[in-house]
Amino acid sequence: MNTRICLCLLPGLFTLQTGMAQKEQKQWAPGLFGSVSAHYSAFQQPLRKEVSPYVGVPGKGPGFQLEGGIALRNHLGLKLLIGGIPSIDLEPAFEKELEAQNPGYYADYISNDDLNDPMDFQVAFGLTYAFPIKKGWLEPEIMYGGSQISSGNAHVRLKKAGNHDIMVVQYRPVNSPPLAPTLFLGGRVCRYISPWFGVFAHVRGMAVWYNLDYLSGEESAIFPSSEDYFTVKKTALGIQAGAGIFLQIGRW
Amino acid sequence: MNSLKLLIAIGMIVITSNFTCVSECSDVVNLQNWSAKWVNNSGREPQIAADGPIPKNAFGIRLQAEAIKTAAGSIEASDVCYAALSQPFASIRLISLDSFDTIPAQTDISDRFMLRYNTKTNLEYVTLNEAVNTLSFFWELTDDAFQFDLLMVEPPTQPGDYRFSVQLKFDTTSVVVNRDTLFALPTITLQ
Repeated sequence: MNTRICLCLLPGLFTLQTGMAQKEQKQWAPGLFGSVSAHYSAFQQPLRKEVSPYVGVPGKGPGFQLEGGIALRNHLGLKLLIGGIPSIDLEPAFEKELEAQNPGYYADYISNDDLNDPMDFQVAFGLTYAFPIKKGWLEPEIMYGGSQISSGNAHVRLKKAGNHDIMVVQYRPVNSPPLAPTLFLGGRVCRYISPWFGVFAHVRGMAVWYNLDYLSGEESAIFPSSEDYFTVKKTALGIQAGAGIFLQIGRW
Repeated sequence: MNSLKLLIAIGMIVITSNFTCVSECSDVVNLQNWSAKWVNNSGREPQIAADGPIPKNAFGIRLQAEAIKTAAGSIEASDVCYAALSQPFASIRLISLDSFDTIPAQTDISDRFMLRYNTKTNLEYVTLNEAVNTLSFFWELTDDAFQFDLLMVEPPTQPGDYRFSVQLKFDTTSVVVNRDTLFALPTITLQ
């Protein structure tokens, strides 16, 4: 995780050094850009009623992003996005769903692995178009990439109220590490503060497609011998709004 | 420039602050000072029931002993510790002191009880014949205590007062460390 974060930070640090050399100009110009931003995201949760070993999915809360790209003279651009989005732990929702499906039972969903990352990884690549405005530009974007999902072997304990009866259901993910395909549609408004440095605000809509396979079996063994194969296919829509700073690394 | 550095620093702190480290340990232990309590397994987890009555379908016995490490040092409460017994169990037996159903008094009713084997990755009930191995090697310690629950999975058909005894025997060679123990438990009311 730490290695991944360090790699993400390198482009930003590079822009700090190279951005100094730009000439005085506060109008949009093609070139290389880098940016860092903080944002707030919220996603629908269609998986909360689909008990599976996929317990950490994009949720609601703050995150951050690093973006880098190139803008061409024809105003088209290419952009790479790497960031961290908030992760929601579905275990409580799974337990509630299991108890609703099995009246008279206590349900405990237990991940065999520690899956407590507060953030999931997100990466995307796409196209932008710049509409220059005074001291800045408006930049619609369309990107495609993936959103990380946390998964691991897990089991459910269904304990009947009033006696000793138990049923244990084991779960094993098949898509691992899972990265859900994600489409980004949005844009940002950028404004120069200095010739090489500025601020921006962005808004995005996102569609995350979950296509998750897992194995499950009702046995009290760590890896049950008779398992069934299940697939969950759901789509979650999300929205994100944020603000950050950009650096124009190169200009031509 | 300072804003960017601040944002990077905050991002790194947020991401790395939620990592925790749980250490594990394993020790060879001797067991002494055994005690027994009733448990009521009606709920999500077995709970100590100081006095009866206990629903007969949820009745169990918790046995607990002090775990004494054979090597120097102490078991940290924050650790997840597993105990291997210096002298393993040879047998665990439950005896009914009174007659019930078709069972005469002083009869071995061990096959009506099972060990509740609860680990991070599973939960299952183990027969007492298998339990002697399950308990003797890498059983999880709770603080400095070695404890386990025996659940009565085949209870008496009728509510009433019952008396049981527990007999623990160990595989001892020349030196007796884990002493054989026989409990005569007080009367419990099952409903």
